[in-house]
Amino acid sequence: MRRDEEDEVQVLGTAPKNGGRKALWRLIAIATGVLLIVLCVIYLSVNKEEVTSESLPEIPASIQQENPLPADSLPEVRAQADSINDVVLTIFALKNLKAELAMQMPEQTDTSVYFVLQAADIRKDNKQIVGDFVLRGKQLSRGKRKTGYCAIIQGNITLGNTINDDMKAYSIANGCDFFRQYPLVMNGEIQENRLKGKAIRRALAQQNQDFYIIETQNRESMYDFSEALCDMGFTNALYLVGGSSYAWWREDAATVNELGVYNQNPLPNTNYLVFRAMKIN
Amino acid sequence: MKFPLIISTVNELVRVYPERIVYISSDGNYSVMVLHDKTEHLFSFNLSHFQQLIEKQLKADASLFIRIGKGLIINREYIYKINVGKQALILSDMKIEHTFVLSASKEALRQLKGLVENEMEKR
Repeated sequence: MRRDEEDEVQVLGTAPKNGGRKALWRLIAIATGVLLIVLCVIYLSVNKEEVTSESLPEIPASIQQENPLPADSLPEVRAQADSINDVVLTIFALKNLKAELAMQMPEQTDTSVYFVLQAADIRKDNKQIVGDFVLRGKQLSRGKRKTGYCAIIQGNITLGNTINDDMKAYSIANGCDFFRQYPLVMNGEIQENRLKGKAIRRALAQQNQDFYIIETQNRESMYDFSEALCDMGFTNALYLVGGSSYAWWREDAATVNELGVYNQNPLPNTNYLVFRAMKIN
Repeated sequence: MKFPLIISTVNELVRVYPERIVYISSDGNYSVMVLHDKTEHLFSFNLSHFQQLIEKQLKADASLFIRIGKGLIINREYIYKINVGKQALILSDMKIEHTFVLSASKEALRQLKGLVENEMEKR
C-alpha cells in the first residue's frame, strides 16, 4: 500500500484532505514529463542526423555509425575495382546517402535513389524472409540462424553480430528497419560461416565511418570473400544476397548501371536495401 | 439519524442505522462492517464501494464517517482515544460496554487528532 494513501484521512462526503497536494504532485509529474519530451524532441531535431550509440541499446561501440558526411556534399556512388588475395572486388563507395529497406524495387526514374540491391535472403521452400526482418517498426519475419544484423535508424546503418534482440526491439519500438544476414567481418575479425560453394558475393561493408557495397567479380567462397574484406581493412561487413540477384546503382541523374540479372517475377517477399540521397536534388 | 443505511447485495439486504456502525474495515476485495454490539457483516465489495454507498445514501450526513487510509472507515462519534505514539485508535462511547482497538499509521492518527481538535475549536 502506498504510504500517502495509507496516511490519508478523509471525512466522507468531502474531498480527500490532501487531494490538492496529490493533484499538485500529479501536475508536477506531468509537467516534468512534458518538459522531458520537449527537451528530447529539441535534442533529436538538433542532432537529427546523428542517431548514435547514446540513444541505442547495448551494442558494441566500435560498430556504430555516425553520419560522417558533410551536409553540403552531393550524394554519390563511386565505383572502383581492386583485388586482394586474388579476389577481385568492385567497391562502391556510398557518399552522402541514407539507407532504408523496401519490399519493392524503386523505379530507376526515381533520381533520389542511388543504389538498390537485395538485403535478406528468401527461403525457397516457403518463400519467407530468412531471419528477423523489421520494416518501419513492423516485424515481418523471425529467426536467428544468421546472427549478423543491419539496423537502419533514421537512414543510418548499424552493423553487428548478436542473437540478442536489443537492436531489433529498438527498431520495432522506433519504427526503424532491421534485417539479418551472415556476418563476414566484425570488429576487424573474420567471421566463420558454414555457407559452402562459390558464387558472386556481395556485402555491405564499413571502414571507419564510411559504408561500401562490395561485389566480387568472380565466384568466390564465403571464406575467401570474408578474408578479402578483412584484409582490405573493412572493420565490419555483412553479407547481402549475391549470385545473379538483380541490383542497380546510379552513376548520375541520367546513368543507371545494373548488376546481376533482371528477374521480371521476383520471389514474393523479395526485399531491398535502398540508398537514397540525403538531400533531394 | 433519520434514515437507515441500506446495503443490498445479490443475496441479502442489511438495513442499519448509521449511528450503530462503529467502523468498517477492508479485507481485500471485501468489507467488514462492525456494529456497536460487535456484530460483524461481511460484504463482497471493497471499502471504496462502501464509501460511495454511504456518501450516496447519507449525503451531508456521510460526514459522520471518516476514512482513514485505504483500510478503514470509522464512525467519528465513537472516537474515544487516539494514541499516535502507540498507533492505536480506540473506539467506544459511554453507551456501549465494548471498546474497539484499531491500528493506523502515525501520520493518519496525527491527522485525525488534528481534525477532532479543529472541530472542537469551531464549536
